[in-house]
Amino acid sequence: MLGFLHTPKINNKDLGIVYCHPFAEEKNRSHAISVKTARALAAQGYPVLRFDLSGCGDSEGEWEKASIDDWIEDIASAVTYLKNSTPVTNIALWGLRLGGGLAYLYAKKHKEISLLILWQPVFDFNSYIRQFLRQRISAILTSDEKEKVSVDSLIAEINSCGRVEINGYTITRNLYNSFQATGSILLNSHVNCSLRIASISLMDSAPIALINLIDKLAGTSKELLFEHVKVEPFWDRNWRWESPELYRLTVDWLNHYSARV
Amino acid sequence: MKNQMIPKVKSVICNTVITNMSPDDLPDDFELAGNALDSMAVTNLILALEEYFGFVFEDEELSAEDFETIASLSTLVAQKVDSSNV
Repeated sequence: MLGFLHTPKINNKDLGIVYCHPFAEEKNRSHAISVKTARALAAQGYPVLRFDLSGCGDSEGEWEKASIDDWIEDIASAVTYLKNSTPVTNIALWGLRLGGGLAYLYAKKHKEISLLILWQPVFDFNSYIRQFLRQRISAILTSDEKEKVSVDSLIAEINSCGRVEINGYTITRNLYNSFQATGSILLNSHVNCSLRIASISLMDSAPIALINLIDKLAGTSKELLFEHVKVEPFWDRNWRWESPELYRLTVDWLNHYSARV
Repeated sequence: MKNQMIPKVKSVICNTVITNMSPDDLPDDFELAGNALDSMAVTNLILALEEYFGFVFEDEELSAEDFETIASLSTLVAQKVDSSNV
């Protein structure tokens, strides 16, 4: 597995951070901001480990054989590496989009995680993969192709042929099934750690559906802080390279948490 | 209903996928597909419209003609809103 450990010049915080990246092209488009944020957090005294999930980026493994369970194991490996490589005793997971969902899933089963920082997290993996498949439809809408497809026809193709190609990414039956089986990660059990969630968009407020979810989570998690950050998203476009508002919010959250541990 | 929908659709577009223009600067015949909206952007626009207006597009309802301009997209949205209110 390939990773980068951003170590602070002065280790004055007893909290290390593992960053969980988003899915497919969202990983590439958010790379600049994730790197800059990791550097900014390290400058504040927090060691940060960024790593590529199996089959992604420069890590070992084949994308076509990847699954959600594999990626949860990868997070475990990353957490272990961070603990063994730094003097910190508290571990936070910071995740963007599907990475946020993976971080939450991991924390549900691993009580060692002290803090979750989730940027625009994906909570419903089945809905997410269906939206991803929708990109094939969108590609047809913006081209001269006359092909008629639907998400259901693409799922049928996955089941019959074992795979579909969506914008250069192969979605295999194994990968699709692992998303579908994961479903909503907020069902059945909840995390036992502090939770920080950022909604990110140019709309004046977070979507009602997310606000309702946050209200439900607030009653179950140890300590939940939620903020809507009115800035342009960056994981779905390739012209956003800075996000000072998110740096500041995340640093504030971390410092607020660290002051009490 | 369609004319009322155009400013709202423009607002969603400017808040999601064409963020370097204001709604007032977008003409009704602004070509969406022709202005380099890639498939990720179009997918996000579809989702944003669904969240903003509270309906779900069926896949078979989505056509290249509907996404040709802001005016044509607003017609589709108006139809969806009308059918959601029935």
